[in-house]
Amino acid sequence: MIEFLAQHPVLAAVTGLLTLAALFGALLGYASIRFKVEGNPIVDQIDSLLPQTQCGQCGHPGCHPYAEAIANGDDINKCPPGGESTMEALAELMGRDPMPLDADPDTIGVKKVAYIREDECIGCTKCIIACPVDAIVGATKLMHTVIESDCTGCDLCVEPCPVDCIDMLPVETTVKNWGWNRPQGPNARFEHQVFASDRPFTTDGRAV
Amino acid sequence: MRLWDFHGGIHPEENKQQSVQQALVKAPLPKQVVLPLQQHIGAPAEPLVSVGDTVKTGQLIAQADDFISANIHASISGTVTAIDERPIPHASGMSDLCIVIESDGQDDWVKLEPIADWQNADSETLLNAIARAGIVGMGGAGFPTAVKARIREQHTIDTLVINAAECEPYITADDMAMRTYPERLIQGVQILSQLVKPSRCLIGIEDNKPEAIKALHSATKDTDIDVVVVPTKYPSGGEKQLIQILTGREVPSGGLPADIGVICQNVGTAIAIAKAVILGEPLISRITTLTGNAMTRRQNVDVRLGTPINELLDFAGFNAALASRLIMGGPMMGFTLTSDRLPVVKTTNCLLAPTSQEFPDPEPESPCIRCGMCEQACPAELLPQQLHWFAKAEEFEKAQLFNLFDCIECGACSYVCPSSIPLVQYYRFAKTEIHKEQEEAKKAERAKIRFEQRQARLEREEAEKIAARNARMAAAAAKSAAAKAAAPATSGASPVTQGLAQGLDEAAAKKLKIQRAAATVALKKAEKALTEAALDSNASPDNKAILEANHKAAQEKLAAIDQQLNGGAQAKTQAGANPQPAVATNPNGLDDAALKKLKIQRAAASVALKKTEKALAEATDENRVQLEATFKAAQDKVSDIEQQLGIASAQPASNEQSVAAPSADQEKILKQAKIAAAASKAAMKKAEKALVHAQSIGDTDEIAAKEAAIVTAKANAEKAADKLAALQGVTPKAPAAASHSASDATPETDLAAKQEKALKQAKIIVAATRTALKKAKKALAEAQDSKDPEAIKAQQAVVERCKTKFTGAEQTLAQLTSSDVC
Amino acid sequence: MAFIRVSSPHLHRPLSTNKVMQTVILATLPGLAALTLLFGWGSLINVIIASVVGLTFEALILKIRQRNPLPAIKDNSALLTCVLLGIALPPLAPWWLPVTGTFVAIVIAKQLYGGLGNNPFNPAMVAYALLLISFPVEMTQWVAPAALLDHGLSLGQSFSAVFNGTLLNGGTLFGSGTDAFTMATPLDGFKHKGALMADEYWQQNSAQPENIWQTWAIASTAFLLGGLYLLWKRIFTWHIPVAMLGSLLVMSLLFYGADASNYASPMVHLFSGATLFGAFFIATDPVTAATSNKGKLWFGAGIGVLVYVIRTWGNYPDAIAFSVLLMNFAAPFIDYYTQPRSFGHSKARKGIKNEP
Ligand code: SF4
Ligand code: SF4
Ligand code: SF4
Ligand code: SF4
Repeated sequence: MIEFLAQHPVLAAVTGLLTLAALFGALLGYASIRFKVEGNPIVDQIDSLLPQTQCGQCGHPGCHPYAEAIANGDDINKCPPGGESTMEALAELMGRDPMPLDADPDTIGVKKVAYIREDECIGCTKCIIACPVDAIVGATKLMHTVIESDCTGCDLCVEPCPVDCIDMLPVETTVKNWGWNRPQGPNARFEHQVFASDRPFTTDGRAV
Repeated sequence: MRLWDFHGGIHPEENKQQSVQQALVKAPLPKQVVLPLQQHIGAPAEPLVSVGDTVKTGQLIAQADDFISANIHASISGTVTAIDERPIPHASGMSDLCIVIESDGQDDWVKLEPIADWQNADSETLLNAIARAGIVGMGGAGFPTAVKARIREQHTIDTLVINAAECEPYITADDMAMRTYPERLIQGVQILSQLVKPSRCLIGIEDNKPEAIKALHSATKDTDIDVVVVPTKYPSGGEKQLIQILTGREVPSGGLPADIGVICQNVGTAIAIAKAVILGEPLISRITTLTGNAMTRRQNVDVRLGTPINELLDFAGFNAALASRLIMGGPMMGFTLTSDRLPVVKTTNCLLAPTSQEFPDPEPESPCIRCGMCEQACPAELLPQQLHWFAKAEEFEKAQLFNLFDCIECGACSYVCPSSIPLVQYYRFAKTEIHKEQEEAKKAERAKIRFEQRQARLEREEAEKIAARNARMAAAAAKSAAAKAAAPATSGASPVTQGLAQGLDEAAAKKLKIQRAAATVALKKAEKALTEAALDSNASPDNKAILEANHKAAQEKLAAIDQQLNGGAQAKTQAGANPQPAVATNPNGLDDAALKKLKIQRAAASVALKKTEKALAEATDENRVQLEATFKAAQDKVSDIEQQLGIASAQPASNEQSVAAPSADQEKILKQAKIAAAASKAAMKKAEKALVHAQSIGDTDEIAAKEAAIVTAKANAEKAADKLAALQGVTPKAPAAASHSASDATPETDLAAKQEKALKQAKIIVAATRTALKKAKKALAEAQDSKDPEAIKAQQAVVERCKTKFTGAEQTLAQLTSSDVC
Repeated sequence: MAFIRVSSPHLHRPLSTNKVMQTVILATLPGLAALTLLFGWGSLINVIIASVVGLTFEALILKIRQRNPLPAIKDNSALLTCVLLGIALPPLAPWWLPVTGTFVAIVIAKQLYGGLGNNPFNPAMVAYALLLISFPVEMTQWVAPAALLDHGLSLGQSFSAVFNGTLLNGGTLFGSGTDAFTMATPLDGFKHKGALMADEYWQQNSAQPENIWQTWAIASTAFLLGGLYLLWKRIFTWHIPVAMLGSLLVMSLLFYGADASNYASPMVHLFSGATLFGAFFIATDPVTAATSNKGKLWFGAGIGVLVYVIRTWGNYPDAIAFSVLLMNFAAPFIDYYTQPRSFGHSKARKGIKNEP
């Protein structure tokens, strides 16, 4: 055997490589069983990345259906509320290439909340029926109101309102949720870095 | 005593001398104070006064609203002139709710309640005194002290640390306080140790305050309090760092000093505690350092809370033209104020107005050269350059893995960074973003759950509707066969009702499927509706007995009357469309859409009713036999429907039970009772009407029979009414069963649902009584036409009764609506 | 009255990046002076060419990247890179050597990776390694110590040599007839001692009038002094130099102790070649080194071991550049596994994985 191989170096090399391949294959196979990660079903993983706004802008009746659609090969760029970051996370998870968002860039990423102008509300209950997360309370012929903490800002209640008394307002900055903005970084122009000014300030710390 | 060291730290120029040259003085009383409702960590306080109230100095004006919250007291006597949003001292420069008091110049104090014998007072008394005085951590964070002092209840504390290090440059408020009131401080410490009962009591003070050390040494001579002098190094005054220096223990990440048996209080806090307990004085003033080269009289002042900062600055000879910025707190951890029209608050330990020579504008940020100086300086032993890198790249997860949340924002890293990177701002930014993300994740999770619950609810309702419809269709198929054989006359009704059904279908198509299903169901039912129930929009499926009795009576009567009602029967069949939908949707209930449908149907029914009446009037006496046959068929149908209704109503009921079992039960009973009451009333009315007819026809036998029927019906009605009254007495206590989101009903939605339901009921009652009244009036007119004095009298009585009921119902409705408005 | 809003802290230590870099450049001066004294003007000319060309490259590339070149030039980081490269190149190297070197260092190794702070590899060493591989002849010709030459080169002669490759008297500096001006560095010589035993080799060399070893030791000591100055100034911590020199010492002691006749002594390793220069000026480049103190120890030790291994068994006589570059590769990995234990944590976190 040894002599045979010694006489046929090509064969020896091939045998050696094959043996190695078999060995590593076995090792990998074992590892994949031994260290198997019990992951969520892919749909749940996708769903957990979606913003759960349930707005249907993706063309699916809610986030979970869209998650199912993505799992079945739908594009990953259809969720405007999630914005760029969600799309990137999806690309990462699904091993696909990131793609530009399929939405009006102005509307991406602005957090909103529905607000009913209560004295104009006629109590038609149409918005209640439209709200996917039951964030509106009210009774027939009575004024309705939005539970702000539950509203996902999905916009779905605006259209059905017959008297147009629902506004989508950007979520307000208050002392409670205010935070420092990200510094401009080393390459910013000087006047953006130093806020020295006696002009009034915007809430993100820049001079107006 | 052995001291430990902590990693890193820096030695910035101290600049403390400037503000200790003059003795502590009282700042002039302000003409107006602005007291933010939140000057502490936790929930804002709840105002107890309103605009126009006069208050005295030290009077409680806003009360702690939560476990973690603090009282606020008037810091001056005078009049409350406003409770509104005012700019508050906060890094954001934004506004928050404040109470504004205009001084009357008297500084007239409330009567204070000192605890004379504090050495022997129990801890509850002391804790209450501290909580009452609204004391919060005066070092900067503003955590309610009473809450912190209660820590003893869950932890074993062996060391009480008084933080007198005051490591920040420029600030000397604690230094001056210790020099001026060493005894008060010691009393405060004694009260605290009485509360926490530690085995040792340490005052940690940096060695750059020799006078304060001397004062403390002499004040602690006869006590077991140790004054420990620690080397000057920023940030040795950080709670965790001081504890490590004094005890060698490290506060675990994310934990409290209490976890390692230590409680730490600041000097100012201890003095405030002593004042609160021994003098009964609430926290209405504090010692604040006024310093920085843009002021000419740099000193410490005892200032009333709420004093406008610009008054204080004037007092200190502030020259705005020289100032490069205005800082509340120290140069390392203080925040800039964008205006000087802001009040002094409980945590204002220093107002620093440096010139631009002292604090030049920050250099532009240049790239991190990873020099590692920040790491050498970081007292939390973090890798600031990595954190900065992650924050900049917005890789927040990695930042958390590198323990971003252990950063105490001391600023040591920024101080040493040669690239003048605003590191702390990067960390604050990252922390805010992470908090936001967490909030959003929580919200998304909640939205998902709510969405799924809603989805499940819709599906369940749909399934129920389908089940009910299937059952009904099966029954209807059997019925229509029977009906065809028995009563060809009724078959004419179905095209009409089908058309109606389609019409309604279209209207309902925009709504959810449930409602469409409900509409179809209702209309199908209408097809088989009770002929006799035409007059009765409140007829009930739940009291079959009454209905049956009704029908028997009616049948007998009608048989006894004329034979004319051939066409009338048809009309009545149509008219019967109404009661059934009402019945069908009522148990399901509370669905607004169903209610709307009901109203439409009622309108349709009243049209049909009018038609019937017309037919009745026109009918001639023929064909009694045929009529009888019609009624038998109708009766069969009725019992059939009753069965279906029984199923249909049982299902929603059980559905409600699953959602909110006990209240749903009560709800159901109440509903049934109401329906029963309504039904018996209707039966009575019907009987009365029949009587009128009989009378108009002049058949005495009939009249006698009718009179008997009325008596029974009346008895029934009374019984039902009694029961209803009894039940209604009970129900207000029961929570409303099915609000919109019964599964996670919050109190508001419960309340709203309850109101909504009550309102709906009231409306129904009003409508019903109105119809009854109209009917009665009409009957009266008929009776008058027939010129039968007895009948007229009877009808007049009926009209009277209906009127009373109607006004009663209207009043209820008015009440409900008005209560809703307010 | 409105005031500015800035995040705390409001105080800053007056030690900026350009001061740091400036200090490091200052600290190279003793070493540079020693080189000039010992080996003639060559090193100084290298440094000057490299600096002028390097700064120009930096400014140009920043303009192309549409950044303001002024702050970047002012931070002295490019200057430092050029100075280090100039010192590392052999004296009297032809002018295009430093020019190519600075191009590689500034444009490729630094700016193309995103500029200061973003480069994973030490720019000066990338340039050095590239030149060494591409132009092995020029890169290994080290002028003989001036003292060994009958007549030292004047400044003018040096410039002429650098720019024309010719000497004023018409001879060429490099090539067949130049042996008078160049000679192998001690490490190179020792490596190519062939079959000679160590002591035989020493005997041969010590026969020379001025001991070449002393020359190199003097230069090294000058760099050591500069390094100690930086340590005293707290520009960097002791961890990297100490770990590097320590591990080199241990390695050479081990082998020298085992077989003194075939392996160079620790003194040779520490005081010849670029060891001390590398330990204090190259390995400590903060941008490309490991971050935490523990990481720096590993990083330095790795360089020390690699230097010894490459010097002894590799193809190149000196090994600072390759060792540093190899450890630059390893720095992120080292960083992940040497995170310090943060305050309040019971143990340090290893790697980037989530703790269970
Ligand atoms: S578009 Fe709306 S419904 Fe679709 S996944 Fe995004 S948030 Fe959910
Ligand atoms: S309230 Fe309106 S915007 Fe908010 S979640 Fe409901 S439907 Fe969407
Ligand atoms: S001190 Fe500044 S430049 Fe140095 S490593 Fe830290 S962040 Fe980077
Ligand atoms: S601010 Fe945070 S990272 Fe910087 S030194 Fe202080 S604790 Fe360390």
